[in-house]
Amino acid sequence: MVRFLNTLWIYILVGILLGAYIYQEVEAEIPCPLCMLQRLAMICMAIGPMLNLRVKVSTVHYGISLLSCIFGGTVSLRQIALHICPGFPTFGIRIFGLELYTWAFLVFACSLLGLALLLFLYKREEKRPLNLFEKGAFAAILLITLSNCITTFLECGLSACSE
Amino acid sequence: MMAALFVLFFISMLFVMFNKARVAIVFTMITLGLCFLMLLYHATDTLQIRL
Repeated sequence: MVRFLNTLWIYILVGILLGAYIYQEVEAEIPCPLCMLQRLAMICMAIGPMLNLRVKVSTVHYGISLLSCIFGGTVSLRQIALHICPGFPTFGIRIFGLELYTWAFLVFACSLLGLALLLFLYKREEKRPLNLFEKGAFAAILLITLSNCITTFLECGLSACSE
Repeated sequence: MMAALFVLFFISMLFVMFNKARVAIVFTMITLGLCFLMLLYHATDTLQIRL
């Protein structure tokens, strides 16, 4: 059950990153630095469940995800604060009436709740080999991270991306 | 710099894949620290302030 939830968590993160990635490519829009940092936080969040699946379920691994949730939440809150004043231009498209960075904040907040649930369900487990479903999650997150590496390098080079 | 952070997280994932859990944890924590520094850089750069 815990392993399944960890795998599902990776797939959800892959789905969100893929959605942002498709939007970026379709709209030919270069993401802002804060959007990049939110993506980095989501990628970092996935390392916790990856360690749980590959090594064994541990609270230390959940700690990594918790820290990245806090980091990502901070970044998205900062972006919300930058655009919150009426009449101030916003960034990107709206989905169901909310900006993308607001959705990102909701993702981080929901991840915190998910983490709490996973910690409730925590129990010691022995190391097990990856099944096909888990291998798929690993391949997907590795692929999306690698493609982000390449496109970010192509768009921003070695600099911190411009606004 | 932003691309480098993605690369560092990718390397962390490779460490996980190769069962180097401790190295992966340390590497991830260092990279997350760098991300915090990047956020600080962005905040001070955008607001034109010096800390």
